[in-house]
Amino acid sequence: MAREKFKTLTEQMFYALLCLKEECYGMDILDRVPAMTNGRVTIGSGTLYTLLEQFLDAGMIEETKVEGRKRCYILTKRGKQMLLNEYERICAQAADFRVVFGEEEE
Amino acid sequence: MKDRKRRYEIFSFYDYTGIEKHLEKMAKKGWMLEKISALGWVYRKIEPAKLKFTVCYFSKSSEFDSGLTNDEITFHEFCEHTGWKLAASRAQIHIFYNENQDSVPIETDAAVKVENMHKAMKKSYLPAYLVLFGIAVLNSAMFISRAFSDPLRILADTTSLFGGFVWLLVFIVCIAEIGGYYIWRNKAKKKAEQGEFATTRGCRNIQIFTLFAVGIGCLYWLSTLLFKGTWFTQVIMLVMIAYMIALLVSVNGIKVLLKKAKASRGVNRTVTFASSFILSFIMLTVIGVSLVKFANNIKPDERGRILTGTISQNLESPPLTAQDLYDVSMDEYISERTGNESFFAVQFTSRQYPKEVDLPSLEYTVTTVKTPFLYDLCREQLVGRNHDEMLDGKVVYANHYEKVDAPYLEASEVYRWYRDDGYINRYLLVYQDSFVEITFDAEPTEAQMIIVEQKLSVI
Repeated sequence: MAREKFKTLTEQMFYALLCLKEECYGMDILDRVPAMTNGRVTIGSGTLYTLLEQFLDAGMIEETKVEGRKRCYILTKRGKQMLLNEYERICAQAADFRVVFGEEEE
Repeated sequence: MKDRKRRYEIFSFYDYTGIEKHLEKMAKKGWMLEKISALGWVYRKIEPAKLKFTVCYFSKSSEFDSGLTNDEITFHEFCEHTGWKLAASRAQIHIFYNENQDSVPIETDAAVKVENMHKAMKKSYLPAYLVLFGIAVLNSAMFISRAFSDPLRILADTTSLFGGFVWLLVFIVCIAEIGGYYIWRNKAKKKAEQGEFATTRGCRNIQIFTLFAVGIGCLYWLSTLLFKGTWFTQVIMLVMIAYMIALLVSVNGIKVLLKKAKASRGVNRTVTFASSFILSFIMLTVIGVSLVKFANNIKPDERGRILTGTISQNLESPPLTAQDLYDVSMDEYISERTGNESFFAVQFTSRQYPKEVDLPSLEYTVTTVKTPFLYDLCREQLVGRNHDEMLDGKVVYANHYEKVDAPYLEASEVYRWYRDDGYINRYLLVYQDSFVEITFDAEPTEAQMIIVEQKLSVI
């Protein structure tokens, strides 16, 4: 269940990774995700803390600098690939939707 | 009015829902959790407030850390960013509160929460309960095997009964806690697949009931020892209680001192564990050796008596003495008497042996079973006591009770011990609710047996 393989990403994982396209303090993700989604998606502090650990372990992000206890992270190649996979999956889903309902239904 | 309050809270270790609800209620009443320690939870007086509480299990924490680690501080800062302030923490449990009822929860992914929690549980709560469970199984098994091999002694002895009772309850609590956690975990995992959070329902009632039962049992045990115990038994009890307190205080003291000295987590853990083993070993050895010395040095009092156990009436004036059977004087004897009494049975043992060698000695044990449903079990165990040596299915050395005829006695059954190839002078008399086991130096006459019956069958 720990999504160790990160085959698919939850919405929270997706947006957390999205924030890390540019170097970013871990804590800032807590504000950026709701801002990016107009409050539709939020990440809890505990969940984010755990996700960052898991992303690090899986080599999806890496630490760029440490200021005191504040740590900066950035997406790795591998992380970018996973985001891309997820993006393609979502696109495929959207495309399938269109095939079934047709463009005008949107 | 006091601005601090200490309470002993009972919660299952995984019961975050229960803890959160309780703390929210306390805050509404104007009490904010400030500290969780071995001596209870400390609350600080605040303006009554509607607060939200969240219990987190943080796997990177340790019971042996001297202060907050960088990981913990980072985690706390993450939480503070969304308005969650730390109320108190102990080992892996961190408790936060938030003034904003609509704040983003600390955990927003149910699956992450369940897994994270399990990682933290595996660190200390689960192993601790498993070790305790192992010890409880071992002790319960020992108690049960002793209860079956010598039921009367165990049944009459409040100390043994209390010990067995406590271990049995510990066993039940361990099963409830470990089992309760895994049942919850399974449910929570299934719910998490749907993206839902599960709530917990701890085994609080079982724990409260257990504590209550242990308390009552302890009071009963202490009162029998205090009011009915002989000083010898009281000394042993005091030494054992002092030992347990000393061990707890010193091991905890070492842990706290090491924390204060800023020892690292690993050093603290190693030293604390090692010292608990070494200290308990040293203390038990010292206690054991000195108790044996103490027991060996007990001199009979001026009337030649050594009294132990927890009942006094028969100890002072035994129902049967060697004087009743032989033409001897009490001055020529040393009397050892011990007696115990519980809800279930009363057992009294008298041992009389001469100061000079050529007088007959006398030893007997009278057990009265107070609870009828235990009578058959005790009878079977006594009558069936068997130390025969077997080889290839054949008895090579007989060593057991055999039924004998004694029409002159009123006992419902009379047994005599048979050893090797003949009877020895040890008898078992079975009565309606009591048993008499008596050993003579020489074969007793019928008249002597009748005296024994008259004196012993009525107590």
